[in-house]
Amino acid sequence: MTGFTLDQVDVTFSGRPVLRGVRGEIRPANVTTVIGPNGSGKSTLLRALARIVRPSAGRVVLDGQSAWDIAPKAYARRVSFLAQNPVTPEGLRVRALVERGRTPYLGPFRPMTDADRAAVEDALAATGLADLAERRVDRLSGGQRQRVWIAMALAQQTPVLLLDEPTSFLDLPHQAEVMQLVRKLNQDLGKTIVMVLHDINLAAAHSDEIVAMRAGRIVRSGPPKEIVTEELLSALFDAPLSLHPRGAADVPFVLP
Amino acid sequence: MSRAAASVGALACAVFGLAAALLAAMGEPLDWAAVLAGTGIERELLLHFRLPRVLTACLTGAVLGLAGTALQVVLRNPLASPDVIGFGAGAGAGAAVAIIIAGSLDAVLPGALLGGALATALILSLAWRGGLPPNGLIIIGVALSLMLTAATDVLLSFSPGIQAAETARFLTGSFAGSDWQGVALLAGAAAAGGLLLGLQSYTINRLDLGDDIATAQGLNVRRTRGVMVASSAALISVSVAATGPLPFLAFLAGPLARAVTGVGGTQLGAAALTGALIALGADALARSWPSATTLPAGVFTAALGGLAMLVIVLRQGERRP
Repeated sequence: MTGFTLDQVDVTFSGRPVLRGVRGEIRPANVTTVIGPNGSGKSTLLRALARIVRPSAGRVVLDGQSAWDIAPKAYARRVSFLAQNPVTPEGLRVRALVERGRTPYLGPFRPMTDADRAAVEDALAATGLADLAERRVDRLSGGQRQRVWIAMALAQQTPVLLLDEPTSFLDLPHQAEVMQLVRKLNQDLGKTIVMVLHDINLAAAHSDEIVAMRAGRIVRSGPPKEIVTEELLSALFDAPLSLHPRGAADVPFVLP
Repeated sequence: MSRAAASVGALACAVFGLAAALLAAMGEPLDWAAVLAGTGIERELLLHFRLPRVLTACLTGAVLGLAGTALQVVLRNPLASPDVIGFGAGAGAGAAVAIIIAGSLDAVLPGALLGGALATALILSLAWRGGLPPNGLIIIGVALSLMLTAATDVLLSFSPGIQAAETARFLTGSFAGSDWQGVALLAGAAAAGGLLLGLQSYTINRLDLGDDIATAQGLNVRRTRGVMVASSAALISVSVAATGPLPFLAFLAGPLARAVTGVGGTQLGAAALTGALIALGADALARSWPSATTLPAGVFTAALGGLAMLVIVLRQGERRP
């Protein structure tokens, strides 16, 4: 069971504060979604959890241990990260890209073993890519390509999976497909998932907990029912947002 | 046998064949009976002129091929070779200053190394703040390269005639003055560079998914990039000291090696062999050029490289962003 504690985290980019004293908990085995307006620090928060950006003050704590006290490879065996807009190398095959997920377990003198190959096959199977394994990644559709990236992160076999806007550039059916996959990974494999989403309706429908951010701070966090309210969202986005009931679902639908 | 292994074999055969042809057939044909008997001028000619010249071409080509391909992959851009982004220009300027001060070629090696190191340090310090972003580094490097070339020209026009002529000849890059000392220097650089790059290539070849993903997979992106930039600069500086600048050779070897083997990544062996082949080819062209004045090899690598750079830039433009 792996979760995070954020302890007064400050992040600055060339003198400009991006995160200001962020504190909070990310609970293990939950799907947690970070929402907020552009420039609120959502992606930076995720990159701080991934140990990509170093806080100028405060600590990111993973299971009681400060993230920057853990060696990079050891950290990469516990936390995997999918960037918002990853570079797809020309000509790379699906299986070869998924094998990259094994990077923290290999080295110049440590080639792939049977265990590594099994992890890759499991990741391909879990994302429904077994039939596409020999295809070129740059020739797949957007939805398929997103599944390949998720498979790569899965092959890393980490208890925590961080996803930065996994549904951007996808059409509606593919957005739903990715969200169902995320749910499945959380329920079947018990993974702790933290993602950044722009779409509040997707966030509300697929998260156990929502973290609302604004101007580098966490405004509030809690289950979707508590966060998705007209007052909180309108204040968060500085725009009047209204809620509409939607059938049997717990959480209403948000419209501008 | 895989296509990659087959093409490395073919490249090695081509290098060996061209080197043998240059040894045996360029200039006056050798009387092999006399060479083997160890008599007369023929043996001297082979041992002191032709052999060091061919070996210098092979090793310089290999060193430049290694320096180029590693930097291109680590910075994810085929334009990012040490001869395009200022490391070579720094070494050239340093060597020129050394020739003008010393009045001879004696201090060329320290001059080139110092010039290369200073230029690299300047480029790195300007690009460091953002965590060495590849494209920022390339643009800063190209700008510095142009400034250094201009500064070298100014230096040439202010220096006394004999030194200026010596420097100008050095700066066109040629294998004509090769000796065993240079061969030993280049062989050391090729061995050390090959070893270091070989050890780093696991990491280098895994940077192509972007810095964030590489970092999240446990790789130290910034350190790797720093080490590779420094090694690439050191390798090109040694090669400049040995033969003068050979424009675009480092730039050409990597993309050609990747095209021939059909595999991405550094392709160190194939790139070193491709570099050697280009250098030998340039020397063969230089020596067989049908004119009274012999053209230096650097002229041919520059002509070939300029053309290839156009092709690469045009192809990059066609690809969707």
